[in-house]
Amino acid sequence: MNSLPWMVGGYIVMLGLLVIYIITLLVRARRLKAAIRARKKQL
Amino acid sequence: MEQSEIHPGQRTQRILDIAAALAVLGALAVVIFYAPLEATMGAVQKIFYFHLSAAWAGMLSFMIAAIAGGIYLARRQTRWDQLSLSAVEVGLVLMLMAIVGGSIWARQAWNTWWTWDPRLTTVTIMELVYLAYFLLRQGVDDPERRARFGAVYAVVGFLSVPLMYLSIHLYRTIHPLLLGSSASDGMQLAPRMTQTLLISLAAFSVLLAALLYRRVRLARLADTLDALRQQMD
Amino acid sequence: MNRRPRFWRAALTVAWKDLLTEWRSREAFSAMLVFALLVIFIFNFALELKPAARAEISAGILWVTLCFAGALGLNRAWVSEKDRGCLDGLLLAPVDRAALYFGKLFSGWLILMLIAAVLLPIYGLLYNQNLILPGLLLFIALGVEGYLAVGTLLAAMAVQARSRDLLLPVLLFPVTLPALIAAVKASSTLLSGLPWVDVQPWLMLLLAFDLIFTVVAWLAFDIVMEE
Repeated sequence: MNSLPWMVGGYIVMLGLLVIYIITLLVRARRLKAAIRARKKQL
Repeated sequence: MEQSEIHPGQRTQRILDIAAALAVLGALAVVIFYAPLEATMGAVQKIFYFHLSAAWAGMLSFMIAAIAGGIYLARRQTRWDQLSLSAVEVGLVLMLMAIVGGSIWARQAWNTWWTWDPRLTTVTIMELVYLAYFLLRQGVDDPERRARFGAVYAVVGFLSVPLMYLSIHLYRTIHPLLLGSSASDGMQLAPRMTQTLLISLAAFSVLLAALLYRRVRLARLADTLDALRQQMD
Repeated sequence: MNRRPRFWRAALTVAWKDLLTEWRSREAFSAMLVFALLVIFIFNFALELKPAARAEISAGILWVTLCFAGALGLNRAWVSEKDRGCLDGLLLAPVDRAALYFGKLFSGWLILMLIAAVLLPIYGLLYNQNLILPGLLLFIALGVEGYLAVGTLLAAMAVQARSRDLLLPVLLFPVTLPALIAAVKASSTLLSGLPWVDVQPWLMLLLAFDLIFTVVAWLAFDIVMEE
C-alpha cells in the first residue's frame, strides 16, 4: 500500500522513543550504582 | 546485605522485562500480520493500535502518579513519592509516543501534522502539566517539601483531566475541525481490529509495569546516593 | 462551636490586610493595570480586529489579559509576603491555615475584578464595542474565582521554589485551561448576542470547575503551608 512506509516510519519513531528512554534508564542506573560504590569505598 | 542494596529486586525486574519485550513484540506481530488493512487509509491506520495503547498506558500512569501522590500525603512514606515521580516520568514518555505516533498518522491520512481532536489536545495538555511537575520539583531544594509539592500537583493536575476533556470536546462540537477529521470519529472497528487493539492494550500494560518497576528502582538508587552524600557531609 | 465565626473572621481579616496594604501602595494594582492595557494594545497590532470577528476575539483578548494580569498579581502578592517575612508571621497566628487561603483568594479576586472593571470600559472605547453586559460580568466573576482558586494554591508553592516568577504561569495555565475555555466561549457567545441556552453548558462547566478546585485547593493549602 502507498502508506506502508508511513506506517513503518511511525512505528520506528514510537518504538525508537521507547528504546531511547529505556537506554537512559539503564545508563542512569549504572552511573548511580558506580557513584554509590565509590562513596561506600570512601566510608 | 550490600549486594541487595545495589541490586534489589533484580529477579522481578528480569521477569517483567522479558514479559514486556515478548508482549510488545508479540503485539507488533499481531498488528503487522493479523490486523486487517483499513479501507480508506491503508497501512498507516495500523499506527492507531500502538498510538492508542501508549496514550492509554500513559493516562493510566498519570493516574497512578496521582493516587501514589495522595497516599504519600496521607502516609508520608518515601516509597509512595518514588512511585509517584516514576509514574509521572514514564507517563510522559508513553504520552509522547502517542502524540508523535498520532501526528505521523495524521500527516499521512489527513495531510496535517496536528488535529485539534479533543482527545489528542487533552493528552498534549496533560503532557505540559506533567512537564511542569518536573519543573516544580527541580525548583525545590528540600526533599521533603519537593515530595509534598509534587504529590499535591500530581493530584491537582490529574483532577483537571475530566473537565479539560469536556471543555475541549464541547468547544469542538461547536467549532468542527476545518482541517482533517478527528482520528477515531469515522473509524469503525472490525472484530479483528478490536482483538488487535485489546492485545496491544494488554502488551502496553505489561510494558508499563516493567518501566515503572525499573524507574522506581532507579529512584531508590538516587535516594540511597543522597543519603550517603548527607552522611558524609 | 465557636470555630466557625473565628474562621471567617480570620479570613476576612487577612483579606482586609491585603487590600489595605494594596490600597496604601497601589503597587500591584497599577502594575497589573498598566500591563493589562499594554497587552490590549499589543493585541491590536498582533491581530486584525475586523468588526465581524470582534465578538469572538474580544472575549479571547479580555481573558488572556486577565490571566496574565492575574498571574502577575499572584506573584507579587506572595513574593512580597515571603520576602518581608510576613508569611512566617501569618503561619504562626493561631488560625486555621485555610482561613489564610480564603483571605488571599478573596483579596485577589477583588483586585482582579477591579482591574476588569477598569478594563471593560477602556476596551469598549478603544474598539467601539460594549463589553458591559451583566452576563459577561457574571462570567468574569466566576472565571476569575476559578483561576485564582487554583492560582492561590500554586502561587503558595511556587513562591517557595526557585525561579518562582516563571514557575507560576507554567504550573497555572494548563491546569486552569478548562475554566479559561468555558469563560472565553461563554463570553464570546454573550457578546455575539446568542441566546442564553447556548451559554448554559459553559456556565455549568465553569461552576463545576470553581466548586471542585476551590475545595481541592482549600484542602491542599494546609499541606502546602506545612512547617
